Amino acid sequence: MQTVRFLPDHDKTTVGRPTTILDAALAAGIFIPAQCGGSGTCGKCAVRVMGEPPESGQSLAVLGRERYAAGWRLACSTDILEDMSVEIPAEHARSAACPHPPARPISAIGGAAASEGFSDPPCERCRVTPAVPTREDNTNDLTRLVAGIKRATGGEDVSVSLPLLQQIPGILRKHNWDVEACLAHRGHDMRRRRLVGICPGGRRNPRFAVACDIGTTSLWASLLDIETGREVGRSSAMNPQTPYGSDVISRIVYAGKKDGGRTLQRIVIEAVDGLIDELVAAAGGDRSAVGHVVIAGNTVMSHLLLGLETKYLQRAPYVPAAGVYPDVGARDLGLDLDPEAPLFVFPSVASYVGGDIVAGVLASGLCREETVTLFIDIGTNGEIVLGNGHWMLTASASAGPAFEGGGVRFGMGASVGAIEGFFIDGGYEPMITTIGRRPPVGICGSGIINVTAGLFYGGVLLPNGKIREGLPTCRVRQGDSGMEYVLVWAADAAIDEDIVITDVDIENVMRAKAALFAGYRSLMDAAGTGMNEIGRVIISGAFGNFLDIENAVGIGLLPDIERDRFVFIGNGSLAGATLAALSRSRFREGLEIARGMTNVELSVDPGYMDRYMAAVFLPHTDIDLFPTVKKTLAAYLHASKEGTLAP
Amino acid sequence: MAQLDAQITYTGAVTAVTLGPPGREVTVGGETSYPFHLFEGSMPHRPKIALEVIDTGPGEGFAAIDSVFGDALNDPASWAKKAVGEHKPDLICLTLFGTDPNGRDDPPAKAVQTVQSVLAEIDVPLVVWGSGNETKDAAVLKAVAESCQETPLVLGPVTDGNYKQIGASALAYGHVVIASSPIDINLAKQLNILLENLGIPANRILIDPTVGGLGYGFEYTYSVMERIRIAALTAGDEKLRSPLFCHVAGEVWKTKEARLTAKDAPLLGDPAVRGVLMESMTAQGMLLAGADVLVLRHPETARLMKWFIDEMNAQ
Ligand code: FES
Repeated sequence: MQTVRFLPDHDKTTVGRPTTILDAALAAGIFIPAQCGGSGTCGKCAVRVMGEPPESGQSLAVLGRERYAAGWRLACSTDILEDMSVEIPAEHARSAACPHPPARPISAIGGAAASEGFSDPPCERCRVTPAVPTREDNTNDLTRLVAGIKRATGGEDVSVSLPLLQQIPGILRKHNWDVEACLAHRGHDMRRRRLVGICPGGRRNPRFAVACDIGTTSLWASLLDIETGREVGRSSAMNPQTPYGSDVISRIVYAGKKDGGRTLQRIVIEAVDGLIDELVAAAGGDRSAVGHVVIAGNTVMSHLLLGLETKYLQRAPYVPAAGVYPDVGARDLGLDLDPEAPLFVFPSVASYVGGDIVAGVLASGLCREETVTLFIDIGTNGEIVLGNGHWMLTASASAGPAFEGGGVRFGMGASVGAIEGFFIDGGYEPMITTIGRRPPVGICGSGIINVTAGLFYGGVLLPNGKIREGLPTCRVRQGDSGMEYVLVWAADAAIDEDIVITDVDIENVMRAKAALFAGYRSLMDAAGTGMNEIGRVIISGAFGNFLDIENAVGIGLLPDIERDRFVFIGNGSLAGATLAALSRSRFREGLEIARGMTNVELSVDPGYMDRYMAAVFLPHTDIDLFPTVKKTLAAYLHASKEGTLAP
Repeated sequence: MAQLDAQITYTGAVTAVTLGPPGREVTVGGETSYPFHLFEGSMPHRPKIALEVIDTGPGEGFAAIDSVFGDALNDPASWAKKAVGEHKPDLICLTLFGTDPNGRDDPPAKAVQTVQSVLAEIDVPLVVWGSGNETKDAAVLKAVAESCQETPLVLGPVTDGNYKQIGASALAYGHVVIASSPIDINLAKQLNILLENLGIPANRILIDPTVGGLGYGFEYTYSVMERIRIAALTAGDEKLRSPLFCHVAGEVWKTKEARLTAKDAPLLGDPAVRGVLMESMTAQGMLLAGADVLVLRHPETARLMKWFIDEMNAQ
């Protein structure tokens, strides 16, 4: 635990783990004009370290011998190894002009996942050595096999499909009555078992399971060690269906065209296959080591994956083909895995409340508690759950892809070079950090929240989400789509143009946050739950490594309640799929969750549109819903020279 | 029969806003109860009526108006003079259709001239109403605001898109602004917040909820106005306490029902009274929903509404 004191006028800041001076400053809300995302190239983040400054080669290279010797270091390239005092050049001390609440970043905890050490995967294997038929005992092959399985595993009866039965007599004899049976657990209670394959006995058990989240915008896959329950690797890719439509509605429309559904199914399976390939290769295994796959996705994604009709999802009264999907052989779906590897898909609740949210709720543990919890999935479909172990209301608010980087000119996924940390000083200059501290490429979802909040608190954005005209800075200018603010000049970026955020981008952010806010307000009204009765807010979303709660509340995305009630689980859908891949009892819990949810259709809720309009404002038309934000803004109002927010 | 005791607890009041220059001022707002609920509170300033004058004349097909004002309609100043002299409205509302870039596209300077000429002829406060083109209104109303530093005006419509330009000059030169939003309580409130952030005091803002004429969304306006009043008077919402301004004339008289001749629409009754009745029905509804200022075009409507307001206030 080290402390760092920022001079001239800031208190001590304690940093928990080894971190750079820049990160410590960002967390404390102290301005250092980092302009290249912390990649050590712009040289703008130079600060003077008092006493004996730590060595930093990058600082020496960028700042030159003389300044280096005088104690100057790049804040982004210098680690805080022991207590230190850092002087920030006087011209930046003006940051006090805009009181920014200190950042409250919470890192994704990734659900309860892994480490729990389950021993009941949804797919079970056993070696069976049925008695060889004789003249005296000429019982049929299947009965023999099933009896052998029951002997080996105990448990309920086992069913078998005709195609597999057609092969059984041959396989049994070919392998001398020594085989391995692979059983998939199924049904609402996961007790019924189906024989999905048999192969020669004595084979090694598969080491891995794959958990996968199929999002509208991105795909995520985890490779899991079945034995230890640990995640061996994780990988993501853009959903290749995106070019066919950025939201579920346009996907459904495309699926309705000739061969459209088949195309969408094929490309997403290919993409999942690619992720598995990548993960298995990185783990030094091969595909035969994957025993089963669990997939969670929203209802439309699940339908498209399984090749189910999506047409009726989109038409009133919005009816899905199924809620609980049949399990299927991974190979039958086109994944290049062993023929006996089954694939399980998370159950859906309604057309727009899918398996991803069921998985997220499973991972969050919401359904095991008394505390009334609000679960928000900050994604394109914006699913929301309100409830506890006794009741659950769900809704889906079409937020649009802004928080996943869609519909934002320089938006991108949460990958290296994405702008994440942000705020500005009194002179409208930005402080920027990127994921991986590489030169900036674009802005990821959590970055978009931080940029919006930073610009609002910094006086660049008006409460209606418009960029103020006529500010004394060249960073605000007229662009091709209205006003824009230059986050990174091309010279400091990894791309050849200035990275900007525009009026249109902000409009999309406003709509997205308003849809979510109105969505959970509608659920709260439906349940008669007041803001202060919410004991916990669980945020799920694959939009960044961390979420700054203060900023998310500041723009009116999350409710203004005590900050220690917030939990960020990262990609909840993937975390839930992970649990289910390791444990059939958790999968069963998922089925129970889906059954226990009551869906509220926002499109027919007369108050929804009104709540939405009220929320298309920063932070909200009714500022009293955001008491701490109100206070911060009042402080700003007080601090600004004109005594007003906007000229 | 037991007496119905539905006590409403009022926690706020409508802000009183004074329009026009000292000596000729008119005050609106100040209600402490729902419209005309005089048994629960007071209505210190009765709703006010503005007669409309249009810089381009009333246009084709307004036989009803032609017969009242005759030749005066060709010149806004004479129209205004005759309206004030003969019909005694509380205010005049000068509508500057001539500045519409899709029409005559008068420059701001021309509009300023018209405003000055009208001001010279009237002794009641003046509302200056733009063409509805956000960008052009910003330029026109800004110029008007600057040129009338001595005479406080009422300027509108001020929208989300031009509130900064118009608001800043209204603030500098002491005019009242009419915050106009498209029939939505939240948008109305948001615009008021923006105007207040700009530094415009609450007693210099009127809300125009946007009128839907009879048969053209009237009910929407009615319920939005009702909700604004409920929020202001009983829900403690300080941002919605402004008096309500309803430009009834513009919405009613542009409908085809108001201007069809007897020959074209024999079933719709006498055109000489048809338009007046449509305007009256709309205006009366707006009054019941809480209107503080009505803009009307036909003096007969104005007479009816005055009578109605008097009747409602009779003890
Ligand atoms: S050199 Fe440190 S942020 Fe650019």
